[in-house]
Amino acid sequence: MLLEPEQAWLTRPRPHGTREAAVAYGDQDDWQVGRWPYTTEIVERHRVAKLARRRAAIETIKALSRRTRPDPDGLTGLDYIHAERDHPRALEGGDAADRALEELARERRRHR
Amino acid sequence: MPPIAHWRSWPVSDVVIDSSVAIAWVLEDEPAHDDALRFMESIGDGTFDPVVAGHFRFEIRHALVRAARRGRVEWADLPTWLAALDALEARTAPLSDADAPVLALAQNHQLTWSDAHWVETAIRYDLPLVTADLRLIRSVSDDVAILVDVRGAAA
Repeated sequence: MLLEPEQAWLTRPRPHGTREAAVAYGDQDDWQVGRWPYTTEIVERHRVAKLARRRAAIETIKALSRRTRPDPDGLTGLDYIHAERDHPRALEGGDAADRALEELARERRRHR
Repeated sequence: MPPIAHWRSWPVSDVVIDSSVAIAWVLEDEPAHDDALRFMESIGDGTFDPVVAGHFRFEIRHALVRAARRGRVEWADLPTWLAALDALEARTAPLSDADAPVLALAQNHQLTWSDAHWVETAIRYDLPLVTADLRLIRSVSDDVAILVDVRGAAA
């Protein structure tokens, strides 16, 4: 939903039932959903633009992932997520998830 | 009917994806990385529209910080990572305010609070949950929610 500044709303024609005044609709920034009218063409244009943004993000993610390195102890991303969930706080101070991961890493090294 | 066949016969485009899928996108040597990338391509071509639960941002950021601390990603790359993941424009489903269904899932399926929220979100929106977490898939039968292994999701 595109939120508009309050002042713009005050100066705009007020909606009035079915005879609602149409907002002047330009094609400059209509990739943002929120303006009437929701015609098939405009909705499709939004969809295509969104997919293009997603594909650009995907290319960035793929390029960045090629720069990543293996974990020295064979831990996985899932291990990181689980460590955070299972050890969110350390009463004695420090980072409990870090210590849990270190313990897991020691265990993996022992079994290698 | 095996869960994966059930998934294929379900004509949905919206899917809930959990943070295990996103971290599999990030880290090249993760076991599910190649399959997760294929699944991500299907988000790029519009086959699937991703939905994430409210705690996704925290989970993925925690995991990325861990990855940086263990030298797997560059600290300097983290802002680009976060921006790129946000640019996928996944819709965020707010976490439920109702504790009872989440508690029931945690109790009946031995789930963590966080995993229970993922499953509850999928149930509440009546969507499949795509995950790389086999432990989670094994914990929840498909009469409770449809959990799809990302390794087969794009096929």
